[in-house]
Amino acid sequence: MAYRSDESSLLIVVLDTNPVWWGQQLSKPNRDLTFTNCIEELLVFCNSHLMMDQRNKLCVIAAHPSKNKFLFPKSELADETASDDSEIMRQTKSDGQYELFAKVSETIREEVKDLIFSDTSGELHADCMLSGAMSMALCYINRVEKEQLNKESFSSRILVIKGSEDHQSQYMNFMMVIFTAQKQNTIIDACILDQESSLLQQACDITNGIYLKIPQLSGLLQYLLCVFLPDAKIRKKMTLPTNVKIDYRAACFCHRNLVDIGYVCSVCLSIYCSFTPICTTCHATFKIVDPRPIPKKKIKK
Amino acid sequence: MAAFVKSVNKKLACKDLLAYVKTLTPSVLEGLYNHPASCLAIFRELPDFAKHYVMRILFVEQVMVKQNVVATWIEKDYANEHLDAIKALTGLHIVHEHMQYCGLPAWKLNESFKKSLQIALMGGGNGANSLEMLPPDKYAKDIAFLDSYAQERWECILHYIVQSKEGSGGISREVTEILLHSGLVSKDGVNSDTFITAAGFQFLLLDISSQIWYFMIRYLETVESRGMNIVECLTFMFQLSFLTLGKDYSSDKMSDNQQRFLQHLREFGLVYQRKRKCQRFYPTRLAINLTSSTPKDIALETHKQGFIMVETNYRVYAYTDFQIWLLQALLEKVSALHLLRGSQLTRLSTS
Repeated sequence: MAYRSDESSLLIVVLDTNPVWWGQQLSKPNRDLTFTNCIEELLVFCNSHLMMDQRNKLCVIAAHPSKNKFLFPKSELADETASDDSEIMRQTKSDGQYELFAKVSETIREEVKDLIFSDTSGELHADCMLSGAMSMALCYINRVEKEQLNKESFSSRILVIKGSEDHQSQYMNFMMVIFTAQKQNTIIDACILDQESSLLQQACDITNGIYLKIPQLSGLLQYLLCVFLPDAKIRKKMTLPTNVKIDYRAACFCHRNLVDIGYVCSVCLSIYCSFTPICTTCHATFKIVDPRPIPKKKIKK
Repeated sequence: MAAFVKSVNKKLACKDLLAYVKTLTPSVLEGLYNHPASCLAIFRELPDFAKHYVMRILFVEQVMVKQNVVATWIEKDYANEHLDAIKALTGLHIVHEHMQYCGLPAWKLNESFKKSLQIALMGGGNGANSLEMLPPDKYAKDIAFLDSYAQERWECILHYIVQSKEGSGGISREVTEILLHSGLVSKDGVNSDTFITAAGFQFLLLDISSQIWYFMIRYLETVESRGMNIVECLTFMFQLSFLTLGKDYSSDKMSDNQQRFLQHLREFGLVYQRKRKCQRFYPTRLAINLTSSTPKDIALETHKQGFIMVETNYRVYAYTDFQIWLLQALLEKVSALHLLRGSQLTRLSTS
């Protein structure tokens, strides 16, 4: 039997559920992509991933402004309702959908509803807790790896679907997540719906992932299936979008602004946009070097 | 003995699912593709490139895609793999070739395959062929019971292959016919007992999932001759392989052919039914993911402790009760105590 990969693949989807951005989509004139449609298309994509191989695994995390939540598999704290699960399955109409896919779809829909209804704080943020969600994803990958009974190898990748903008306060955490992913050989892909994100561009470049800004939002599912469905081994063999020019500027540690030229601490390599006598990260002191020439004392005769 | 050695060198050939499906006629395939479960099972066995091609055109409204467009989807170094994928797809009638208006050849996805795969993925079918759930069973069985049942039934068949002289206790005529057809046992005369063949020995040494699959393929080859409909049997088999272990399903809506098939499966240990007239059945571990060729570990029995000692005077002592029938086949019994069997390895016993 030729040409079938013997490796299974774990896909983690991190979905940006910022209510502000999704609300703005509803008020757009042509309504290319509403939140409901996005969830449905995501479900088809997730089920397609599970369909590719019987051993493939899936995890979906929602990145909300105030918290992150596992949409699938259901978090274990919620397992009191495990007995209800079989009841739900009994009532599920038998319409030909494979049982596992039906379970995935139902669970994700229920959890999304739960997430939205439980957000009663009323605060509005323009971004979401993306670095937190990605850290949760990396922890989940680590756990699955440890729980593997028969030590089969599997590849893992994280797909980030993002619409809202970046916030520079997450820069540090994000960089640490990227380097961890690189060490773990996890691929980070980015599916950008609206605004370009330099952080995700860097993430995709370092981990050999694919960064794609969707040209036509109404065709989201087709882009997901064509570009993000192939796993690591197949990607080398297929023609997929290559990386764009990446903005590698670092952000300064004091204001989180992107700088081209700045000051670097010689001990811990933290970056500053202006001179500080003491490094805030490692508390190393710097000698103040005065650029003015010392005036020569005039000898009075 | 020389004849035995020669035939052992010929390995037991077993087709995987794709190879088997390719032997079916186009009309049978068309009948299969009307059912979501069959499309899903066959899709999973396709080569990787073929799977991605199908996924890319599954949701596209435009009916055909040009062949040279498909060729640009992969890097040039992997042209062989591309051709292999296309061959698999056309051989199974999943895509058809068409000549487009502009004169360029194009591929078109089989309509029934497309619809059924979409239903398997998203639901929305009419549920005519699917198995329903029932209200909770007052005689509900748990997974451990199903495992022990499956193991007992399957070992019964293996025991028969090895030592048919002890009578066909619990084995029906149909199983005997299948075993004869597959060459695992053979007969000297019409009314004499069956004895094991070299192929039968190799069969015994396979792991259990390969054994089950080999046996089912042979069974399916005899289906037509029994007057059963192969499309219905295959559809039910595919549906069965996607069910959940430990849940019961209704056999209400199944046709007569499928009911007969169900009774056979009950005998092989692939499903459990409390009584023949009972409307609900439980799939066992042997039936789940039956059609998939990825390595499964069907550990029906928990790790059993045992000891085997082999002496240089060709005596073998086995302190275990696990798979005794294998020892009985190969060795001549000398003494048998509770859990301890002493046997002798002789030229006669292995031929």
